[in-house]
Amino acid sequence: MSRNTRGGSKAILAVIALAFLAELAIAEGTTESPGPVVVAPDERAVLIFPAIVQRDDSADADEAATFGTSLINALEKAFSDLSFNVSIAPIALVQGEGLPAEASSNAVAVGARWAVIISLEIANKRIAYSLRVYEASETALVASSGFSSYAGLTALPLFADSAKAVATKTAALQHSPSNRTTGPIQYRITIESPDEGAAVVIGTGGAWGSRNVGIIESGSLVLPYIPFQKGTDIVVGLSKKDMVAIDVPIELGDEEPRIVIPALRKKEKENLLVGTGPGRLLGVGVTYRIFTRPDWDFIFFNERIFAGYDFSPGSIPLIHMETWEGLGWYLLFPPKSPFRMGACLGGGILFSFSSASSPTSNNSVFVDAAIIPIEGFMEYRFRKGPTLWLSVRGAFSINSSGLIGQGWMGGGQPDLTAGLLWRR
Amino acid sequence: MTMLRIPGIILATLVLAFAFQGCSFLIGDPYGNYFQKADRWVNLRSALKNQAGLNLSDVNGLAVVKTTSGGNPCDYIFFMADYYDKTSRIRALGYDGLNLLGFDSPPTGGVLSATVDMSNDIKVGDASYGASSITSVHTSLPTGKWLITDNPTTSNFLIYSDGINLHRDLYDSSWLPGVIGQSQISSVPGPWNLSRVAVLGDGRICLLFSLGMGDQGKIQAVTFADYPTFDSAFGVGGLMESPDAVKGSQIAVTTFGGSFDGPSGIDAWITENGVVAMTTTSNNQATFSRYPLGSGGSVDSYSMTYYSGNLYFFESSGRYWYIFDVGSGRLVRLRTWWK
Repeated sequence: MSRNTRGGSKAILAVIALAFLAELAIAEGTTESPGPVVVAPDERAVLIFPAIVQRDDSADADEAATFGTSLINALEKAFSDLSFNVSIAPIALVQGEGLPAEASSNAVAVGARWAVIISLEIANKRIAYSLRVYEASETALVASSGFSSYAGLTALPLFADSAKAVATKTAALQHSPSNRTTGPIQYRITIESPDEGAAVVIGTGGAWGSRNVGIIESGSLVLPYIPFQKGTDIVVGLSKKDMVAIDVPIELGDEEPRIVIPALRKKEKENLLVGTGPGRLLGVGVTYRIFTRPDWDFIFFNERIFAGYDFSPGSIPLIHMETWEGLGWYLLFPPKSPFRMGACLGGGILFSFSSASSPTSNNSVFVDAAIIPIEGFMEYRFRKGPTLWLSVRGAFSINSSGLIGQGWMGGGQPDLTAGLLWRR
Repeated sequence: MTMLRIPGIILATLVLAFAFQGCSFLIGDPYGNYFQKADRWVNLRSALKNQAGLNLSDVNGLAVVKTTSGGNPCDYIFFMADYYDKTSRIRALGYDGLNLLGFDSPPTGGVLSATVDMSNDIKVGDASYGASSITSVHTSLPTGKWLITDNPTTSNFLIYSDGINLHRDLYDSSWLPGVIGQSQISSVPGPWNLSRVAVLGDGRICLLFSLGMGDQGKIQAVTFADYPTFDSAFGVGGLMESPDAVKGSQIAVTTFGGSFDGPSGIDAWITENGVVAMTTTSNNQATFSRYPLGSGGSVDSYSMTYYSGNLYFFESSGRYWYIFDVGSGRLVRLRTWWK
């Protein structure tokens, strides 16, 4: 092996990897084969797979092997101190990193519960290494440690600390069940959303135990790695100021899911409704709602102006102008539902203008006062455009001096109005 | 239920709701559409309160009379005012302006009609009044009967029925009783109740009967071309041989309906343009149908929201009709839908 002196950088990447990679190394042209390894099939069995991976001719496998041996020794001591039975596979030279699944498979084949993969890299006289411990039957990462330092004697204490750390974590798990059918996911979850700046939480937003994991930037967020078990369901919440938060359930499987969360909907703060109905077809009603609790409770102001005209001989249109106001509540179905229902209460002042003359009045302007003891409404929101709405109002005139007289308006027939609703 | 079905449900609800509202979908007015025909109105409750300190509760009976005195028109509307103190009086309005007049008469015999007698006085209730000033001329007159005069005017006749026979009582100009005539309404005895009598502008005399027995709910209008025809009918005994029979070419008999049991029995009025009869439906609709005198079916009708307790009245001229709205205390004069 020769040193790479070009560019002043000598990079030797040595990955001490799985013993199974012996077979892989052969396939890739390596000269050494680790061969089969036999270890005791108990929970205290640890199989260490050392191998030096030489990615190119410039790698200095000798120097890497020197540090690798020290790291193996530190690891063996740490596990042995915790009463683990440690087996070490021969060091193999490979041209790529070993895969945890293959390492685990080999460990299972020899009856070891734990498989350890060691990665070592020397570049510009600095050494970077990692230790990863897997539950072999599930290829489940249970402990890891790593560090980077000057490639000299000062690295040896770091080896000891890292080895002790992963051994201790492994020892804490040695009495845990090992017959789990699933392992942790092997990917980081990516959330895609068009809502820039939206906060992402794991768990239902605002609920106890939920965890903020970041915000959407450039249309997506890659969550930090969390070792969720495969097959489990999690909830990812997305929230943003003045928008309706959304919770998306996700089932985690072997493959990384593509999670695309649709655009958040604005919280309703104002509504504008325009419509008409039987008896008021020669006119229009406009309602403005301002929400006291977004999406749920509102105050409404309803103005109607229409002509009452039956198109029969002798009739002259009456002009009616109604001003209603009151409170309303959505009662059924959540805001995200396209179909919702609710109820209103309120009252109104109603003006009617007639051309008829009278000896007891200078004009024929009649004023009625009425209450709305009950009004039900329903809405259906299409994917695009305004919302269709329908209301059924029962209005009771409370004064007898107006045009209606005391009693239910319309002779008790319900006051139907249908129209379109715009949200803001 | 899938979300895809919901628009269909909404549409179905709309259709059903609109269907429930019937024709009012297009022409209904939640305020009661009759005021679209209002020509003039007066609040009788406030007028009586302000002018006489009286508390009107209801109006029970209305009559219109038009005559002249000294070449001046003397047109009035008489109405029975029921007060909250349980008393009742007959009051009068000027016809044109609907202004409340000072006329205040005890209600003996009710309003029933206001008719000009052979002396050009106006008989209302149990008294007659001078047309120009509506001051009392004769008192203690018979009540509960319909007044007509002959032509040329020589006598006053009070017409009434006892359910079987039609009676005609003769009075002179001083309202002293004369020869009493009687005619059997039908050779088949039955409850032929005389509901209204009107002398129309062209001299026709129209009697409106509400029929009974097997014809319950039917109305029969018997129209005589003139007074001599009416007089001759009395002279031959049976006025009608059957409800639909016409006795002589100058007498037109029209029977119509079958469901004219209005809120106050049979609500029908005689106008020069036909008989107007009211029916009400369970969904608070009132329909006024017009039947020409002397022929069959309805020629037109008008529907409106029906309010229980209101008073309805049609002028015999056919130009106006009236509604007293008991809720507001307003008397409204309305244009008819055929003129």
